[in-house]
Amino acid sequence: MPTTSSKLSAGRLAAHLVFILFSAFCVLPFLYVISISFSSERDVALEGFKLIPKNVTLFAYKYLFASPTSLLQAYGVTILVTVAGTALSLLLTAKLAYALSRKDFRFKNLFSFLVFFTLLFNGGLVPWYIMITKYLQLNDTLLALILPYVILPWHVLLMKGFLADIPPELIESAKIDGAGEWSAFYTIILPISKPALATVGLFIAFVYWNDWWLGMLFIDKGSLTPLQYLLYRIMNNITYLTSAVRAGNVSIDTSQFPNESARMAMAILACGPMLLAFPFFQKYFIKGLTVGAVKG
Amino acid sequence: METTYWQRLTKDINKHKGLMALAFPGLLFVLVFYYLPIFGLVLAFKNYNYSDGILGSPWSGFDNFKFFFTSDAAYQVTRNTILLNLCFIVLSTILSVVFAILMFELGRKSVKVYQTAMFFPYFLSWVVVSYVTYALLNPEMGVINMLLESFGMDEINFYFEPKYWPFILSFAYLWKSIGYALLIYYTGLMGIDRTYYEAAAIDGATRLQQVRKITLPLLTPLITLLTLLAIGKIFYSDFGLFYFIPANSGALYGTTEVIDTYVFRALRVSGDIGMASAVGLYQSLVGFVLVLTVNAIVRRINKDNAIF
Amino acid sequence: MRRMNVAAIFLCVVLMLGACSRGGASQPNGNAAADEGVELTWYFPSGQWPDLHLVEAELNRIVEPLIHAKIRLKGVDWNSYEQKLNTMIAASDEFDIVWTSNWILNYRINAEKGAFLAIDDLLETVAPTLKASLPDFAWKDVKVKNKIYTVPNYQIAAHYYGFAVQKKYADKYGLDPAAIKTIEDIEPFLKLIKQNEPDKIPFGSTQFWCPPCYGISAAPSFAEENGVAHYKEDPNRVIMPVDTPEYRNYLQLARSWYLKGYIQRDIAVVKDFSRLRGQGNMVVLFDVMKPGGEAEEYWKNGGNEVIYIPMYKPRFDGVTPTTNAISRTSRHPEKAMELLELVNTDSRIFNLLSFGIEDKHYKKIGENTIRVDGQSGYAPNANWVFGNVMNGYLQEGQPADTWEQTQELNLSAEVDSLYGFHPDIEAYKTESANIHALEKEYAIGLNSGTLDPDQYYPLYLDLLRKAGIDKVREEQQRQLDIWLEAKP
Repeated sequence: MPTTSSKLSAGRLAAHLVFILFSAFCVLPFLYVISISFSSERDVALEGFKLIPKNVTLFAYKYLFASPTSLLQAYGVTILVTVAGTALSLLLTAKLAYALSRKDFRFKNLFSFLVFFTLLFNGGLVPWYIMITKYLQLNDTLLALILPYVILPWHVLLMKGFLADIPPELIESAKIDGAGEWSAFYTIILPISKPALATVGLFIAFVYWNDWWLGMLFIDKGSLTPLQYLLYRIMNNITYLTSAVRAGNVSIDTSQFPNESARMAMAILACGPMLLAFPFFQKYFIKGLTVGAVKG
Repeated sequence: METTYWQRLTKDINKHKGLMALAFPGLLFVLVFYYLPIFGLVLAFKNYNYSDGILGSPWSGFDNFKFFFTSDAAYQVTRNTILLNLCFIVLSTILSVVFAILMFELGRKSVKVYQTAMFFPYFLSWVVVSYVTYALLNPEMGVINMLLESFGMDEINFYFEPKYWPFILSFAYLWKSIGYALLIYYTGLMGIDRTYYEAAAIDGATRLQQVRKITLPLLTPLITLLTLLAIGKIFYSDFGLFYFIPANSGALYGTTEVIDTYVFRALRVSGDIGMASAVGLYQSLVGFVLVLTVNAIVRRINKDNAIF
Repeated sequence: MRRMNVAAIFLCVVLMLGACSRGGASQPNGNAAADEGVELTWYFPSGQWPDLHLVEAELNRIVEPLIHAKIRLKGVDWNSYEQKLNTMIAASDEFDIVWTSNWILNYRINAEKGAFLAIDDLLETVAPTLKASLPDFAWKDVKVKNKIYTVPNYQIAAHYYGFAVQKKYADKYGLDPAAIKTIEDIEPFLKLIKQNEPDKIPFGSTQFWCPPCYGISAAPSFAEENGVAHYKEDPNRVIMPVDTPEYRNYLQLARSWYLKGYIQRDIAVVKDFSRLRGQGNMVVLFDVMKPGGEAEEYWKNGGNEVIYIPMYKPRFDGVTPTTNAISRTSRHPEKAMELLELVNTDSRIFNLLSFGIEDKHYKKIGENTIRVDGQSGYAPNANWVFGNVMNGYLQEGQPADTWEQTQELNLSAEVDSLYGFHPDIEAYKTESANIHALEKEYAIGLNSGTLDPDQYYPLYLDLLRKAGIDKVREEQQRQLDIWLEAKP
């Protein structure tokens, strides 16, 4: 063997070093965010950002949790929407992408183009809004938070890219066994595409989780407000109250308001559950249940 | 025997019934949420008023396009949009492919840790990131200026020096998105058949040769696809990045302003839907031309890699 | 194939169900409106208030017997309000009352585009008390093409700018407010602060470009302008304030203050101005003023007393900063008008909307004075969103004669000679969009002295010319001439 093990390990060491540095660089700001969220507003103002808060306080979180029911309700809405939306979206995205990835599919190019076209051209906000509120009548329903994002062209094309790797022989062999396209999709394609499903699924989940736009446009009912929009509104309250302009006529000591710290606490609250869900997705794209495994 | 186009089409549809059925629900959503509202593009050519509605409002020809094209800004923001995004695409592709291959070579355990760590910035919104960059860059208390000072160098008022911003923006973009891009390429690598490597190893190929001869060629379709998609999205650039990170400082617009931020600034007060639609149409058309061009080039080189 | 299109069928079913249930629900609205179920929706900007539904229930308890309609209060957060309402209006969504102003969801632009209902007749027939309760100038002020499209929320309608100086430093360094006649006069004081108070920021404001201080009748920004700019002595000639010697001189002054260190170096990009101010580190500010304003400034400046040094006489600037209009799409415009009449004449209702429920959201501490509980589930702190503020409670700290003072100021304020003229911006909206964009790019940098005017001002002016600032002026002049001609 020409490869010397010492050279190899030196290379590996260098790679590890690069990754460790880069990782630290990515995590550090996050730690700052956590630290600030536990700092008092005065400390942040006077001392700047510190990695370890001078005085640990829960004030920012208390402020955000001032009305726990609406916050918990919002978590419920967002979790429900994310889970249901991701499941539905992933299934339809995979189906469509699979059909588009099949080289022998007569309409592959036409349909791919139709999907791709929407990535570039759209009618703008107003007609889309009219479609959803007037024709589909989805406003103030949970479906308004789910359906508009079920098929996102970017996800379809990404999925198509992954599924194109499936060797045609595998599909042929399934067909010889007498399976139709549908059962082949469910029994063979889906199981071997777990890394792809996990990756695209994670991105879809992020879209649903982080969305406040649909909530802002379509939801007036308090009980259906998604988390991100609720947090956004709470933050706006603070910004509004602390902004000196046109502040009406009231005397509040706005310098005590948790502004920076609440913003950071909000960032933590907003991404916490997704942070916890990350390893679940990661399990699949790390494991890499590959084509070879099924074929062998 | 003569078969008409329609007969062939029916035959094809029949033959691909299964695949058609798989694609159908997805296409239905595409139709409802993308193609039906697309008639809204007419707004770009209308002087929209509410009482007459979208169809009833008077036509205005190309009036709505005027505000964008008569301004000096059109050239500048189009240039910024394209150059900055090309810079992002190239850097992010190279870095994430290299990282993905390196991770693929390293053990799974460490990969897990690195992947998670590098995904962290993706969890933070641009607003929060802008606080971090402000803490680094501001002239009074900024970390970088404190460092410069301690080395006896002059401080830099970053928020008024446009020349640094292409780098700062690229850096912020890479920092935030690398975890995401990396994941896509890593997943692509997981799809590669292991037996290729086993065969190559038996033939005595080195790791580097394996990467060059097996990994990269097999990853090319994915790289092409993602690049094409990214080029298509150039004109729907990341608003938050360009709006929040430069702190909306006017002095920086020369190098930081892109179409979306310009339109936001210009139309905020009037909220004119016609003019916004006109710019949207321009964005779509330029993006479309870019993608068709690149796709045609890809098709020339390798037909299979083109997306349509 | 049995599983075929489960999802597609699901989608279809959902869509149909949606359509049916909505169809069913909306029917009583249309047909049997007289019987029951008239619902009025009211969109206004607001924070996130968990107890809004309690206020709504209480409101309906009072209002329903009076006008036989149920009110739905739809508070939308401040940052999204414009975007959401613009979309809803453009999509012809049905709703009844909508808050509109000259700074968010522009009243004149939307009225001209046909978003609102003309209410001249409704005011006479349905809301005579409301009509009579406001001075004539208020109704005149909201006219667009000679029709009234909105009900102003009557409050202070005159403003003036000047310096707000922290009292302890004014005393310490013997500042004589009476001696400050022009902007430049404050400079020696700034110099003293700079020399003797190294921890303080002598001058805190981002910009202090103030056309009226220089005899120009205009708002500081093109974007804020609803009328036209002109010299006070030469009222019939339109000018562009950025293209005047006064502005050029001002820029030199700002630059020199910046270079002398009176102005904080990163002021132009500071994200959170009020927080900095709240630390009490800014000794002098250039700020908008109103009667009793010093009391508010106390907290805004981190618990430091301030004194006001006005730079010019109060100018009347209209009642459009806060109004409520009836939507063109309203099914029940009469009912909506009845509601607006109640809100503007019945202080019970106004106070409920503005401050919430007594002893839950606020406490009475005097006959007409309350203390708001900022931590409660409803504390919007924006009574001016709903109606005539003079019908409502005073808040702790406001002098008992606040409303009398306000009224007096409104009536005594200097009224611009071209008051009532509003140019039709449709004729130059292309130019206007580009000028806004340029203004955002250069104005703060120049006005705060951060950018060198010798280098950047010629550039800025050149770009403004290219963007059509001269065309705007000519067009405004043309419209003004026609208006002057028609004026009796």
